[in-house]
Amino acid sequence: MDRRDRRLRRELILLVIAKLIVLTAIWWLFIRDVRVAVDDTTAARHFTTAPQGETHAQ
Amino acid sequence: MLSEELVDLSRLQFAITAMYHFLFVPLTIGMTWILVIMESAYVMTGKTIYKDMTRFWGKLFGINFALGVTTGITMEFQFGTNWAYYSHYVGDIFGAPLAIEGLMAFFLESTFIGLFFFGWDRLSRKQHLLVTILMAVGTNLSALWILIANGWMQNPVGAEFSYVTMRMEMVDFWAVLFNPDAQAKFVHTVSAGYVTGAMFVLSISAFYLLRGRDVEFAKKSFRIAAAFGFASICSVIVLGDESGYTVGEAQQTKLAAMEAMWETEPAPAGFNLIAIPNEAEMKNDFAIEIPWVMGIIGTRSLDQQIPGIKEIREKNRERILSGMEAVVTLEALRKTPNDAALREEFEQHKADLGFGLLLKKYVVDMRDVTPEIIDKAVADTIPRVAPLFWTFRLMVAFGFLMLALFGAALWYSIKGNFADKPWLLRASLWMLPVPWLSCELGWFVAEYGRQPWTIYGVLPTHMSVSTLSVGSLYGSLAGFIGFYTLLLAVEMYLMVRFAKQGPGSLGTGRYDNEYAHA
Repeated sequence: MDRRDRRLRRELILLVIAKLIVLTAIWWLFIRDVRVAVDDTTAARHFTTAPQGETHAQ
Repeated sequence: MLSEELVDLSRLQFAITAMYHFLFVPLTIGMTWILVIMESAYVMTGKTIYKDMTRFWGKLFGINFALGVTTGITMEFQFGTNWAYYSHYVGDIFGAPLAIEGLMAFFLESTFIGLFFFGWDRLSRKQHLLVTILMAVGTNLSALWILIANGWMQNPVGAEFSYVTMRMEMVDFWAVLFNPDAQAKFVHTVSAGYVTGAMFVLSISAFYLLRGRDVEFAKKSFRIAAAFGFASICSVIVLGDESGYTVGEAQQTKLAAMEAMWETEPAPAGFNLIAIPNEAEMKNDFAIEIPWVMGIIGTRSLDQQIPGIKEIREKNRERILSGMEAVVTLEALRKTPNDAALREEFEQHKADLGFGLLLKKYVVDMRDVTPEIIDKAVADTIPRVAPLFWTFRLMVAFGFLMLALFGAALWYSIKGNFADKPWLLRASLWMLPVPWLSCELGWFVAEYGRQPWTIYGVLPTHMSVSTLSVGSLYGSLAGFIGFYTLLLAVEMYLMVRFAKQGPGSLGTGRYDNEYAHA
């Protein structure tokens, strides 16, 4: 593995790490607190009668 | 009832992430087999140039893989956040292939990709070739499980709705696995990936030949890409035809919309080569029709009819009325689950439950449904015709354009004078984006054509969406678009840099530009 290959490998490793950081940031900012818990009761309300009064995060 | 803006934003977010993701995927799928061919040539002939080809194109493959890996994970985020009702309703079936993909294919693929890059000095020739083959198999297995999941969304077989758990439950794993839609979609999609890989190698090799550099390396690469690309594009077209046939079997609405077939014609139906669909009046203002062709493609027979949009709408009206009964009975059954008469009545209408749920876009309570609302729901069962009609034709036109290019490239490769045909080399270079465009168009046809359903005939899109705030969706949408655009820009930069550098980047001392970019 020559100097250029080592540079490419370093760039790709940094890139994958940066991606993981960005993905974690996206998850932290937009996904983490968004919990829409669905069980058979909430699903039944949603699919049959009014879904009024359901409590969802955000 | 959910706001249309919420539904549209959730759909847009998923569509954008999926389309960005699929910029990386087909090249990964296609390049693995090209690497297998190149390395097989090296093992069989012992010629170093084939090893250099495997290592150089493998380097570009590695850049694409590093950029593409994890881009699909944001879609899995969205299943939980934006599509919580979908995940509850069909997670029992949809989750299984996704989990198998993660456990089996992804680990297999990742392990062997690591060995491919770092095993050159540690493995024998044959061992390394075996690693490359297993890497290709792993990549294709990844695609298989994802497409089994997607195929089930198009044709939901092997599952039944349970009013106790309020979800679809798998009753026949083998039916899900061998779903004809999934199998046809798999072979069609991976073949499109092979074409993408072949076009990538063909175009960059043509670039070197036009510049008069790394000529032997480029010629050998060009020949392999031409042969592999020609075989692959033939597969795409033949298997696309098979895919169209399965659509005709399981998704008549999509087929009728793709073909702008408003009326049920006597068999065998004609094929609208070009048409100007008028959705308001449900007719084509102008059409050039080729007799018989649609009937033969869609039914593989001369005497079977293909139902037109108007006939399908009337059938759907009946199913919506039956579905209303299913929803009302389901509501009662949830209150008194042991009532045998209710259970029997529900069983009679269960198959149409999804059609009844289409009405929930307009009313909360089925007792408030009016004839006007039923008309609206009936109209909703047909996706917009013009975008499907034209997108499908553009994809097919690109397919035949690539057939012509690969055909010419193979022909002149056999004759041995392709390097003296600047028009062929320029065409090869400029056609580089075409397979990606075709793939995206194909996915548009598959997914937009399934509307208004997430699970065809079972679960309407508007019932699948989570009740999130519109603001949070705009925020995450902006985050995803920014993230993917950045990745795409880095991919383009690295690809262009290393493609321009050429095989000289291997540092073997055998190629042009050896030290130009050191």
